Amino acid sequence: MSFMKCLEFELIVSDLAHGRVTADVERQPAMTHASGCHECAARLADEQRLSVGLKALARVEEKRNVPPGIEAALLASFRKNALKGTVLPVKSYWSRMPRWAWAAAAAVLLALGILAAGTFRQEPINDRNANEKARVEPTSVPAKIIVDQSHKNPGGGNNQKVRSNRKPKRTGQVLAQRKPVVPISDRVLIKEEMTLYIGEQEIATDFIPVIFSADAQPMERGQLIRVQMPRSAMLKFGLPMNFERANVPVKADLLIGEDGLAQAIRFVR
Amino acid sequence: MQTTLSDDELLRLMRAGDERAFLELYQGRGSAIYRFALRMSGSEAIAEDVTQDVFMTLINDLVRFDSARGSLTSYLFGIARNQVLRRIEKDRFLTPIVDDQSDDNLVSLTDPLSDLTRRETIESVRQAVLALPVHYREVVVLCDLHEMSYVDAAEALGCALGTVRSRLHRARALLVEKLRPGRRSEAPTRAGVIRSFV
Repeated sequence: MSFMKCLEFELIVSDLAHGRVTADVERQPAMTHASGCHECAARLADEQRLSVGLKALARVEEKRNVPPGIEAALLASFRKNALKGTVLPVKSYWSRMPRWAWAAAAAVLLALGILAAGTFRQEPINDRNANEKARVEPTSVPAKIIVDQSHKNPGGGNNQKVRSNRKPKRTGQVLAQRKPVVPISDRVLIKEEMTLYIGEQEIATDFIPVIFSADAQPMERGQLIRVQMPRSAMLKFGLPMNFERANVPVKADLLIGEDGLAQAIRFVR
Repeated sequence: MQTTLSDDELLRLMRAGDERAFLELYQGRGSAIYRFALRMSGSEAIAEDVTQDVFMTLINDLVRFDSARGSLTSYLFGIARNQVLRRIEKDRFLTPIVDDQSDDNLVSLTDPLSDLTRRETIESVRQAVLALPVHYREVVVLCDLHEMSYVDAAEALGCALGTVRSRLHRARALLVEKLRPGRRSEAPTRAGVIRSFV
């Protein structure tokens, strides 16, 4: 009969205490060793206490079950999916596609992506050209008129170049392409008129300042970005909101300053 | 009503839209998955979410399960494990409100003193498990609390059998150290659980 050493005992003491060693061939020498080695006996006792504690914890938690609401919710989802037919047969069409087909599709997508990226890269140049056409002198024209100009005559007639180092901060989803530069003389725009006709089909509120600052300087240049926002945003600007259409987003024009920050907003219908 | 159908058979029926098959799969494993998530996270809310997510994955991505790669139980525990880790990571900056409801299960009126001792012991074991680093915690939860075989645990965790053994050995040694008499066990705060996750 071979005698076990402390190192060998240490390797199996944990499994021994937790009932994972059932074979007498392993178990018997370990128990013999523990009966003759004080340290290993203490180690085994520690592990056995732990095993008892873990079993007690497992027994207590065995009573914990999933709340019944989850079963109902899952069953509803299962029925819905079964109706939609998303509970599919074992092998779908796509899973039967050979790997080379996936690789070919990925290559085509990659090529398209590169082409698309190239196309987008050319856009800022066009944008810059448009901006150069839209050079404007700072004027003291009221905001209402300026806005009208920006829509009716985006090319403007002035020759001041506009450069912005920072990208404008975007809020919401940009719907339309960036509008040309709009000169604004009045930094603080007061809501004198609630509505403004900016086109044949669109009605907009007056511009409402987003940033209130005592040392506000007149704004010379800026950009107008059309965004889509949650309707509740109107409340924040003191405008009435139609709660029946609360889920329908509202369009707005954001006036972005040269520093890239939103300066004013108007809501468009 | 439980039947004697195999997992493969139940899955086949489930694919065909048989909701009884789905219910049988859920009722057979839902509680185990819930307890696993509860033991790993210490949060009932996370456990409920994870249980729901696991079975939603089974409903939506049934085709992804391959019985040749392992048992359905291991597959579900594997999903649960990933979900729990994601939730722990996501909620790392949240401070939970302690829920003492669970302790009600441990109270009986027969012998208050021994019950109190027992309750404290069990609670200290629970806290010690929760305070383990997550890769040790998961093996203790699966192998010691769920009494899963090492092979199944390795499948669920996606690691080698030897890794499960060595982690379990180390985890138990850490638990013994934490629970040694005279050493005041520290109740793991959420921050502690997070630290042990990192």
